[in-house]
Amino acid sequence: MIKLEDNEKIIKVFRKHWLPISLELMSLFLVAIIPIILFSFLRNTLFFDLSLRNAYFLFLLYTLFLIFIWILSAIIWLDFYLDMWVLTDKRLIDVEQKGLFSRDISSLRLDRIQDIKIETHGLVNTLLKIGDVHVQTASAQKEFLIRQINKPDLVKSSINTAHNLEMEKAKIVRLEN
Amino acid sequence: MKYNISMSEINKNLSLNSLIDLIEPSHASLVFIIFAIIAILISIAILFHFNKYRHHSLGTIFAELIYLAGIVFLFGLAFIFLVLFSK
Repeated sequence: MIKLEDNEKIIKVFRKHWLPISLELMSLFLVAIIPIILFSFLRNTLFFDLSLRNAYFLFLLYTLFLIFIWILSAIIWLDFYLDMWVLTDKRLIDVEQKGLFSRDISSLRLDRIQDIKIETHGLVNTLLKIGDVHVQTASAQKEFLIRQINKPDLVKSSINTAHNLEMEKAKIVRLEN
Repeated sequence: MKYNISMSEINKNLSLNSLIDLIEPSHASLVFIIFAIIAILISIAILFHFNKYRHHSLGTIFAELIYLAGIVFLFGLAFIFLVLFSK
């Protein structure tokens, strides 16, 4: 997956909160049961007066529809699982999965970090401790955004600690020289 | 000009039964095969991603097994319905 530098160690891996993906999967489940609800409403009409053989055809169509929903759920889960932020002792790495065949990986050296800001909007996000973490940098990229993360304050403190350690190391190296 | 067609007659002419009767079992099989090929290709891509990041946790392997069990079960079910429809 991500190539680490020599002596680089992973401190933590952050992922999005489970709530957004749960809502997406829940809505897919609702879409999956819509045909059953429709069928139960319409089965008594003459239009739906089906022979057994033709009922099997409708079941076949519904099963193919369920396969489609199942695959879509797996893609949504993969997108959630492969979207992550990896904090190492040298860098903060952002891995963004876009669908099945596209992925963006960007990294930021900890010594380039200038400021870290947390944003939490809304009642649900406040209660469940979901928020965005903005990492301001000295590089051309300017900002590194970690969206809908679980416990953004902990993420911020982890990045701060790693940043401070990296800066301490840099000071020691300078003093030794 | 008067039209003497009752609602039930319209329903009979438009019945789902008569529409499905128009479908040849061989055509249904062909659609099933095309769908299965596409689904298998996408599943291979999904499993490739699962395996690529396997070292993350045991949960990944568990999720992979759930996905495989689900897709095999659904394809099995679809195949049974196809056979019953084609009889």
